[in-house]
Amino acid sequence: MKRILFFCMMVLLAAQTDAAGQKVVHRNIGLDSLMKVMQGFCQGQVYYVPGANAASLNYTVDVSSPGVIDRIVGLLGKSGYTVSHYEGDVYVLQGIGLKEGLPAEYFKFPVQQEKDQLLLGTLKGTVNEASGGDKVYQIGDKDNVKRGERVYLSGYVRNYRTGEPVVGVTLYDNASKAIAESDQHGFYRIMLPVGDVELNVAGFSLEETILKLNVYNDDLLDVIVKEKVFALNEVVVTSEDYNKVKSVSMGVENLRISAIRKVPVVLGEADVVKVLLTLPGVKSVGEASNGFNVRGGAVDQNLVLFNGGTVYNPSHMFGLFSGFNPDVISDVELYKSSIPVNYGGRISSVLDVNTRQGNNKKVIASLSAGALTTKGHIEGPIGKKTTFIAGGRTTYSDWLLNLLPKDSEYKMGTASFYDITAGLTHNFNDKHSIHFNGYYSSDQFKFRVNTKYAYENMNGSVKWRSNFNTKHSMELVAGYDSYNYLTSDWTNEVKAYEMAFDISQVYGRLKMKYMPVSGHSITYGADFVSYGLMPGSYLPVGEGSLVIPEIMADETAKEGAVYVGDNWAVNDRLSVDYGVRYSMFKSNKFYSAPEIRLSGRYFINERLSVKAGFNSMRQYIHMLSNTVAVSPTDTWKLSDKDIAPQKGWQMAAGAYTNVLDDKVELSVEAYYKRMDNYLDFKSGSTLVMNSNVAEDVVGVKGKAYGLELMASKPLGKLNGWASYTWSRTRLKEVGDRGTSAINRGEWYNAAYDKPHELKIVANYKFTHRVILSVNLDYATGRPATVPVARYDYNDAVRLYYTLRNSHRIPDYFRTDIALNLEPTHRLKAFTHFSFTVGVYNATGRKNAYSIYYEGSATDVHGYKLSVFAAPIPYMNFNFRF
Amino acid sequence: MVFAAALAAGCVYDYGVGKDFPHLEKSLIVIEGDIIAGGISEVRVSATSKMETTRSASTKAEDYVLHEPLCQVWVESAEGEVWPGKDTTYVWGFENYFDRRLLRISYTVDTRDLPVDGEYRLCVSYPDRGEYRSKFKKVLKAPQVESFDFVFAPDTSYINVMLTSRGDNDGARFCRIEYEEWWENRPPLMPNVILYPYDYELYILSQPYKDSLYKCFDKFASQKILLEDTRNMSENVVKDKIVTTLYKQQRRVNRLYSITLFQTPLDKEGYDYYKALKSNSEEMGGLYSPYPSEMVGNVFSETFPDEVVIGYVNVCTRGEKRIFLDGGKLGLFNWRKCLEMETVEKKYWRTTYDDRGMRPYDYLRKLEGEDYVIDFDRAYWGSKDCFDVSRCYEKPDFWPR
Repeated sequence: MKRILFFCMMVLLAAQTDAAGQKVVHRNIGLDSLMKVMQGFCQGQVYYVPGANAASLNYTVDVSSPGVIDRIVGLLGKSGYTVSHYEGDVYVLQGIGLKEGLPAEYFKFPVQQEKDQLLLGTLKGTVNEASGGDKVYQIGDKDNVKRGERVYLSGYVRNYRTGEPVVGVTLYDNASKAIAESDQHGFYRIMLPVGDVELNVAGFSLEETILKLNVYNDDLLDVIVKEKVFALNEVVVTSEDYNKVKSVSMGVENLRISAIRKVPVVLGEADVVKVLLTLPGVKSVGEASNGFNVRGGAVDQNLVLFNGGTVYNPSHMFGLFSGFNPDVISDVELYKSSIPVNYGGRISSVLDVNTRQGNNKKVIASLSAGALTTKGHIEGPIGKKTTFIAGGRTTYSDWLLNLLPKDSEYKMGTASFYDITAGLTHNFNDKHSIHFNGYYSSDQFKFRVNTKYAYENMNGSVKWRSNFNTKHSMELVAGYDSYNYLTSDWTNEVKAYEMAFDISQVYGRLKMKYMPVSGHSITYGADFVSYGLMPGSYLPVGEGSLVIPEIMADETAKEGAVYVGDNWAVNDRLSVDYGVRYSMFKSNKFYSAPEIRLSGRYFINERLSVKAGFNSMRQYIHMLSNTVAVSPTDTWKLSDKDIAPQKGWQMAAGAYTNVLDDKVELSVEAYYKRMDNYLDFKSGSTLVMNSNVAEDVVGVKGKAYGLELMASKPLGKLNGWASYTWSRTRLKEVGDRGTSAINRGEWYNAAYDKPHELKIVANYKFTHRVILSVNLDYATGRPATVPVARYDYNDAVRLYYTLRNSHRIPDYFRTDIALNLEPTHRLKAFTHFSFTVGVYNATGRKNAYSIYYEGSATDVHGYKLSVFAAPIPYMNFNFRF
Repeated sequence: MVFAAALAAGCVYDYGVGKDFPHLEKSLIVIEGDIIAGGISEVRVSATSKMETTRSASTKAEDYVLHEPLCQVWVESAEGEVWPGKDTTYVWGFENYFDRRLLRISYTVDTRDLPVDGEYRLCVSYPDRGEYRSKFKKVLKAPQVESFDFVFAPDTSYINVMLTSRGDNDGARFCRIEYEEWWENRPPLMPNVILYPYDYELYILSQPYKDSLYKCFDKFASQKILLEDTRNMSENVVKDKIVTTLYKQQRRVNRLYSITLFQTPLDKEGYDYYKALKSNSEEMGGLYSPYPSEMVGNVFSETFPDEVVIGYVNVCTRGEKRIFLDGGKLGLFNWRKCLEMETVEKKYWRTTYDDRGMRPYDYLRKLEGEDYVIDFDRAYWGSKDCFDVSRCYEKPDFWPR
């Protein structure tokens, strides 16, 4: 109490009189008024949290005689409030006030201590935890010092508030140049010199922390990180920016879901893939298209992983939405260039999407509604060692189709989808944990009443993680992935049919990490995939159908790979990542080949580094598609004796620097890529229910090259990034088909070849809850195949095409604007409400998706198809509770 | 796609034919026609033209005339027997008053006596370009037309013209369906005066009226490619195939209407050709449209073997069936509702009634039915097309009345 009085002014001897010298008594005042009175007597700020009974309280206090504070404290005490002080401020809290120290007898209660320790263990998963401050942490046994050597420090980076692992946090020691990044489980391992170390911990929207360490020997240490109170979490490029200069890898984009939510996209649905398209080197053939193209690669050359499982069709509703529910996603990593040695099977890129493990402190849930979809999720702890997370999403889009004109042939159409994601994590102890993940998505749509199109993705996996010791860790995954689609048409009774396609795979992956000596971090392991592919079945529907049932022979194959790679810190300036992956594939023919991964980084100075890399990749599975945009009913084909694996290699180089006090990051990357055995198709070929599809495909080789410039400002009131990409992607049929060859056998532009692209994402934070986001997107028009001549045939003008993609549709430009109202930062609020209002294509520009031509009886008419030819306003509501 | 199509429903805009489009250095020869065993084979020989070529924009009459050279056309059997062709010319076009004549040359070959067990090819000799020949092909037998009829919707708002045909199970499993429509235009008001389309002068007609001035005929040949594939069916049957759909108040059902079906069998090669032609012509521009494909036909240049020739010549018998529908009796068309849209506004006339000292109603004779509302300032007689003599075809031979 003395302390409290000390901090409250008593210069007036706690006496207040009016001008006439009369006694001043505040009668029947409420808690709020009493606090104002109290504030008048205190130098520091008075903070208080009204209790549930606050409205019913009333006080009478005489402020004209000494001892005012004592009287107020006494009054508050009678109504259940305690007055405490902390760092010059006064806190009025219900019940027990602020504790200034542990009770003297605290350590005399071992049972309680053990319980607390257990709780802490659940949170931390390791023995020690560090959260910065002035405290010096002892690493290893002081009596067993590894003098002259380096020691291993490992552990988990966890969120202070939720206890969840935090991905992509960079830990680095400037003195020794040691650097590490937390993986998808929040796990990190770093090699530090013995002695005093200042370990910097940095990550997107996290409070920057410096851990003071006395390093003696190998040890475990969990790092607890806090989000910034007023988190500037509208930045998409995350901790990648912190280590773009420092890390060896290049061409890696790391997205955090909190950032993805801020980028305006069509209909306001936070979308992983659509945000990827705002990054340099990532394109699509057009709006509302399935899939994406990375550095000149085809859509099927991207490996899309969701919690380690392969998702063959990661889109909903014809590409309007990606298949991932943003409510449960933790992070997204896109490898465009330096593809780690543990990934393989596609020649262009790897998109690795991971869900969160769930809050391990309390159960929370969310519910949101947009124009077309509604989604929700729930997460929380089960006991002390287990957490869960589950989310679902569905659509109610039919109302949109009902708006179509009465005579539209699609008026009777329907479109719907839903997806479910679930995960369960159990930590046995600080070394071993198990993770279960499941995903299911379903899409259905009808063109007309008597037709149906549907497709499903299904993934399930179990992962075992073990940290054997400070040097060695293991990740063992087994899973099952499946994708299938079905189309049926019963418009005509005798031709009524149902056609189906299915692909499934069972896989196992073993990934080991080992840090044997200073400067080396070795990754090694093995992958195995067993494919089962049902290329197609064509079955009658209804008794009147005359369709002959046909089921194509199943395709099976085994794919395996062993790999080893090393991250070698040669010296303070030079680091090299090198490795080899040996992949093998067996269908009715055996293929195998080594794949090389090599990249290096050289520090020119603290803020400037240059990097270069080379990758070679193999792909044993191919998408069969002869449409410009990937269709939901495209099928896949395994390599066999007639269809060779796709091969690709890429070399890239870049420079990275931070300027303006590290507030702005600049990078430039150039690449050159080659692709072989990419499949294209002969004119008029049939790709479904074709048992001799090899006769209809032609081999194509490709080359892609480009330059990507990027400037990003991750923090500040105004933040965001801008990128410019110049790139080309050209293809050429291989073989000798003479004039029948695609484009007469000459090089032609890929459908997604857009030489110039400028992308800007900017966020401006008016207050800590109100953020304006703007997204600008300019690109050269994509190539289009236009007719080169006209002729009369069958009483109509027909068009003659011969040169593939020789022309271009008009340039593309789009502006999106969104205003985000963030949830309240009051931690005790029961519900957190957020709201987004925005406009997609705010200028209403009628961007061309395609141009096409039709002949009439006498003339040719050209048309431009715009998918979103007007401003598309949207609103989204989100409740978290 | 349906959603995208939904969004796209109001989002298709005109887009010009770019002058910067690539173009062929040399036009390609286009040969169209089938060898019809047991019938008359019609053949067209033409050439491709540049994309920006247009017929309606020019005001010069010569631009509307295709200067097609006269070719030699004949059918040849594998044994060397020849069926010579002959050229015919006819007028084509005339969508409106402003169109000019377009001269086309077509060729006919009398193949009525073609033995169905032989192999045949089409040969064309084209001045300055050499000789072109199709591949020898066996005669494909057309499926039997089991029914070809009008099927009314329950609410009679539309009429489907439906086909059921059956072929041999081991016969051709693909077919192409074409049709030709003829209909009679006969407004209930008989004109005494016509507006002549080439000088916009009023002309007084003398009695009796020429039949074709108030009762004229129009026709339309199918332009869409209709294909059927029965490969995957236990029977070689096309059942309840909707060939076309007629709607109430469609001009063609104002009086007597006829539709003639032509069903030709195809082999896989022919089917693929027409499928590509259909795709290139009718299925472009969608979100999931295939790439346009280069047409690979079965006609080749004898003189320049590498020359690309457009065309596929099929050898077959042809199934035919004609049916009639009396739209007038069925009340499918109400003339009173279309008077205005079928007439020419007064402002376009070069002379008026007054100029000729006439009263409008003197020159109008009600032929049948009730009273009709006529706006003499705006409406001019009955059917516009009935005055458009160029559009008005002569009564076909098969017309029953």
